[in-house]
Amino acid sequence: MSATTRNTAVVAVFAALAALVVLVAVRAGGAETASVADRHRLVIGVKDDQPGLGLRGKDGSYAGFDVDVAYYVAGRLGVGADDVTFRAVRSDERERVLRDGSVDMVIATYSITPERAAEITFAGPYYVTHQDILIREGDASIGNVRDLRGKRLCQVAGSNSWRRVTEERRVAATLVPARSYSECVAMLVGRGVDAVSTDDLILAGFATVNEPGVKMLKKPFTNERYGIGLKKGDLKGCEAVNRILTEMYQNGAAKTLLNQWFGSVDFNIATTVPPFEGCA
Amino acid sequence: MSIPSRYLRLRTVPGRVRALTVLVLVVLAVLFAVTGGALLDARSALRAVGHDEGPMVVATSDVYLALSDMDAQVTNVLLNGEENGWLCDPDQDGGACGRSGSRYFYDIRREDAERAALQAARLAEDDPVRLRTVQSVLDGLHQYDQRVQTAMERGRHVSHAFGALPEDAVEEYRAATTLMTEDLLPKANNLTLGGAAIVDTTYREERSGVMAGRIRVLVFGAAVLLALAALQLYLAVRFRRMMSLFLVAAAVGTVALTAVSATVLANEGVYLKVAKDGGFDPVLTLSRAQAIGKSLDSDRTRYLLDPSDSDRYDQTYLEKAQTILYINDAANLEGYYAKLDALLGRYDGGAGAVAFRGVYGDQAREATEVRGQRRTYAALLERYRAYQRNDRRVRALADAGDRAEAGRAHMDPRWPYLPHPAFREHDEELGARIGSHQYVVDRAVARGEGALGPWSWLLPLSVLAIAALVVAGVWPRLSEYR
Repeated sequence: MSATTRNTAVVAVFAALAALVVLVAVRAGGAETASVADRHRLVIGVKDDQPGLGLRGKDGSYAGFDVDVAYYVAGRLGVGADDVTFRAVRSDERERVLRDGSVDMVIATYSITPERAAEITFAGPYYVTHQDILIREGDASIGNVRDLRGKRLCQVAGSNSWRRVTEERRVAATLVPARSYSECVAMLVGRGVDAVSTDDLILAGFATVNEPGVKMLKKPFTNERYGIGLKKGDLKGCEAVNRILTEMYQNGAAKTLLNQWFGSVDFNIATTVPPFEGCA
Repeated sequence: MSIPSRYLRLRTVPGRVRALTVLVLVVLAVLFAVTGGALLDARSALRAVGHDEGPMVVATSDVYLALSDMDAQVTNVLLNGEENGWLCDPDQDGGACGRSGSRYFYDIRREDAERAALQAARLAEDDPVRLRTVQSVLDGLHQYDQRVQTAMERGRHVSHAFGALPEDAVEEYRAATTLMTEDLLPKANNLTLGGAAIVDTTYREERSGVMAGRIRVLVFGAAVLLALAALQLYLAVRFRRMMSLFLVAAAVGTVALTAVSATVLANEGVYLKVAKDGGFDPVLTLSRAQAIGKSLDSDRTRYLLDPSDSDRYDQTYLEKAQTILYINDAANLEGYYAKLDALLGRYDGGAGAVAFRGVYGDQAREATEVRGQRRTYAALLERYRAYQRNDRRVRALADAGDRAEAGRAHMDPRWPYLPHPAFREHDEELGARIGSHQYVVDRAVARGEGALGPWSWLLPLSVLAIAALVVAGVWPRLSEYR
């Protein structure tokens, strides 16, 4: 064995050990998870047809309580308003867009249910609404949910609200299908249906834009917990969002936003943080 | 020649021997560091779950439990018309009246709530958002006290029993109970969840540190062996000696150290997992179920006490029942009772499938994987079923218009100031489950810490011994050149 080969052998041992160390260091580092807490840009799914909550204006911009909550949460996550992209989502595609990653976060009147919670991770709720009934002004025949028997009730695709009337309370209303709540309200005014029943925030939103000839019954009969939908398993993001929501209620931002969007409507607005679901 | 060779004087034989020895010792030092680091990770993870954050989080869940207890006492007293005993202060009234047991219990639970809030504050000490939540719970508690006092004073002027509370007292009661259920309890709930998230994060990070550390230990153990082999090979070729017994002993020592510490780390991973998944997590979720169970029972009392809002109390009752044991498409309470009976009939004391979700569904499903657990959960589910059966009867009586009878059926038949035995048995069984999971935490943490104990001296000692063997193996060869 010549001196050179021996030297080479020693250097090779050094090199092999160094490579091993690098390999271990890389392995131990692990892959970074794609949490919303680590993003610099966010695509947020909102409704585009719900006044007061999520509504697309003629210039294509979105406005509403959900939209402002989205800006607030994104801002606290370190994503400026310019880096937030809104995308309109329908009720029946909210789980899918989160799963396939085309949307990072859904803030679109999204009620937390165990079935949905099995598919996605819910932060929040950021608000608990109560289902109420919207009727035509001057219609004295409807005083509470049980009076809907035999009446025509609007049924929106992908929304659960009609179930609470016809299934949970066994009130035999006739269901009239519609694509969205704005269509429902148009049908209510046009006498195509007699009542629209869904969460009071959604209904208050319609009252805020002063749809003439409709009024709210103010007889809430359920609790709907509006959550912020995240991709399944993003616990870090979920915990960060929950913290932000707690803060939003503590510093009065939630109250300001609620008053701004629904203050003109006479119903009880909650101004304390709702009980969180827990991140799972 | 390259720079490292010149630096280590690799041209000379003793230089090369020295270089290889230094290499062995350096890699050995790294092995010491990664093993020590992983063992420290294991220790701090065990401490977090077993001694520091874990118990504190469990303590914060007592805020919720104590608050629910307080509200339940208030509701029961107003339902039974026992305001005089509540308001009695023997110190002031000169012993002319007797303060009721409910009031004493309320005061004790109020102190518990404050003490638990203190724990929550300690846990949140570097988090201003959570500290403010603790603060607002304490502030709200004061307001709640005042509302309760007013409701009691208004109620005492009218003789009533089982729900015939005067309207102005109902109003004040409604304000108190709304404050409790829509402000204080949600915040208490969020405090516990936030604390659990802290424990989760610590646990995940430390445990993955332990598991990654185990791999590092194996890799660097192998690296030490490799370096030892290179040294031995060089000595064998250069000095024509087949074996250095010291180096062989060092190699054997390295193999032993690596294998044993990798095994210990693997075991620590298991202890941690058992303590967290089999102990801490169930303790928290079951404590939550216990608290929800209490406010569920209070919802029924509220339903009887305040019939004008009965639709809403029925709805919150159903929602809470669904959190405890979720039944798919049980749309109303009637459907829930019926489906619960059928589902638990099919579950058949643990023999059948778990066709429900919620806290009990998750626990029962996990229990099917652990021997002996199945039956204990079957007992819990049976008591829950008995409780719901009684509630169905209470609700039917109230719906038939007999609220006094419904009120009596809702409470203990012999001691009407106590909740119904079906409720108490379910609650006690839940308490027993929580206790047994807490025992799992304590045992796993104690064993994990016991296994770590000797390593504080064993690890440095064995590394020093191996280093000494390496030096002893090389020394005679190097001295040939002096």
